[in-house]
Amino acid sequence: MLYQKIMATFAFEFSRSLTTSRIATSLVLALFAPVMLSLIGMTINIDNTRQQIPFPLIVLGIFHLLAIFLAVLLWATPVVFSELEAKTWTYLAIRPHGKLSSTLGKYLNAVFWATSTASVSLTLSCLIISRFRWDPRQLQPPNATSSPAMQEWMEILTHSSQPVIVWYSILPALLLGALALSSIFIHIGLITHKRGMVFALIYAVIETIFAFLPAVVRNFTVGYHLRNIAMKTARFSPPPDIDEQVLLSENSILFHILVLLVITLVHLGAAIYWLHSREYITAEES
Amino acid sequence: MIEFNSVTKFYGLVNGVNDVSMSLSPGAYGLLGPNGSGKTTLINLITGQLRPTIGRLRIFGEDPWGKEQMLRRIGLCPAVDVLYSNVSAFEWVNYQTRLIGFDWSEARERTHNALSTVGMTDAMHRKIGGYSLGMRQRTKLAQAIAHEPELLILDEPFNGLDPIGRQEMTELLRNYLGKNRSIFLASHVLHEVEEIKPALLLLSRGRLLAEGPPEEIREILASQQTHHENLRFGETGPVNRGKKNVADILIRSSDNYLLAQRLLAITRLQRIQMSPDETELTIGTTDLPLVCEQITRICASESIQVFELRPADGSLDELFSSLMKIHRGES
Repeated sequence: MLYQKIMATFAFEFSRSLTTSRIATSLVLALFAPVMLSLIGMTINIDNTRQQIPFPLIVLGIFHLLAIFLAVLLWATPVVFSELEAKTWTYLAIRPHGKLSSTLGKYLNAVFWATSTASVSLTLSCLIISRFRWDPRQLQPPNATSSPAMQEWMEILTHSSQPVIVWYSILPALLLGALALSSIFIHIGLITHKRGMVFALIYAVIETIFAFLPAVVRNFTVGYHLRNIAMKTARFSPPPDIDEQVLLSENSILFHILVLLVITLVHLGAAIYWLHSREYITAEES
Repeated sequence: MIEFNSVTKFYGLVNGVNDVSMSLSPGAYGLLGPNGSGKTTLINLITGQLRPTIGRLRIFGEDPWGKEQMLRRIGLCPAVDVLYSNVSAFEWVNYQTRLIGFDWSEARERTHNALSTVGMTDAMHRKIGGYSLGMRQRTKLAQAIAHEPELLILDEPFNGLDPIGRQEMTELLRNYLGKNRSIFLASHVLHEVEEIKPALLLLSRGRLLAEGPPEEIREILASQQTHHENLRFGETGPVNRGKKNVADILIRSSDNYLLAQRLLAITRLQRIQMSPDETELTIGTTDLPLVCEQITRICASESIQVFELRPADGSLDELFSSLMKIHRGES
């Protein structure tokens, strides 16, 4: 029953969100990474014959994490506040489990838009990098004698830089990232109301910084787990002279997926708690 | 059906509803009060959107806060006139009906029925953004009645409706009542509420000042007018103008002066007053049916067009302030 209500909200919200502004925003976000890649490809033009994108997995991972952040910031954070502001919340609140089903339906809609935008962007980006001829040896200084460890790493790098590998490594991370970040931003939006976007933006900045800190705190960030999922799926590892634990954990992909799902459920649970314990007033006193 | 037991609601330091106690069995109720009197707060408490700060509240025997299944028995048509502009009435009402818990096909059928009941069949697939105020009001009503709730709550349902729209709305509400259902109607205009013959609840500054049938309220109103008139003329003795009360009616016609002249010539009026802009004529009478009959005759013989004829409720605010004084022990 609740599932039907959530899906009804999703269908209604999806048809309502097919507006020119939403499609235009989605298009801008989807084209951001491909355009940046094209510009980088044109700039790095070695001996006028070869074009290279250094570490495509990392570059595309960062671009698309940014796209997901922006998408959910725009579409997930204000799901309740927009209804309160438009004074339409009352209609949802007077339905049995209306607050819950409408919030979850809107959450799914935000995840759908964010994921589809990022997927289009990733696919276009991978098509672009497939045009570039990737030669990892360009990263080595000329006449350098490669050690066996370096040779091995070059092979890893070559493997993880293939467009198809990049595509299927980043795609699940995008979906999991959209699920987790949307739940976090909805939670933030429910607590902070009018200032939801500001607080969500502050959270995004702090989360990005913490995700790259080689400290325990990174375990609580979404970015760290997404990085692990994408890099481990692509079987990427850092260069031999860098300690792997600076970038990645020793845990399996499944562990990181489970952590992200737990983060998602915890934040959705907290958001539902807020929905049921807080009074959201929209009606003007008459 | 509705039970308030010393319910008080604070918004921070502001008092929304103050120590309200009432017990309402199924039927029709009109909640009357000036703007800002706490009507919407009371409705929000009934629909479980607000939790009482103090006191106990039961709707159909259950606490509406947290008992969401109970909301299926309630339909609410809120006062706010804002709807999604880029969807059609059908899409919106259908969505609202699905949120009640009906499956896809039943929700569509109920949506269709509700929209045709409110006379929106022709326009239901047009975007709400292009609707008139009356059409939006009717769409709001459709979402409230689509699941045929036992208790229909309406907050200022006549807002923005033209006379025909008001008449249609009144008719619709009467029909709804005829199906053994209950109506709780909030308004600040007495004569609008009176049309569906409900028991009246008078609310002012968050307090429930009086409750009773419209006749009683009218009597209080009339005696209040008499009282004020006596004060104006410097009378100090007890208010006693005979056994009959004075009823005020307001008329807007094509020739207010001629109508007043003819009326004064043939009948005895308690008072007659022209508005400063000369568009409204207010007359006070102890024999309302006779005066109405005479107005009809005069208008027919003199070809005067009547645009509006209704009880003058300007004194409703006076009634509320007087009742407040009684509450405070000032009079």
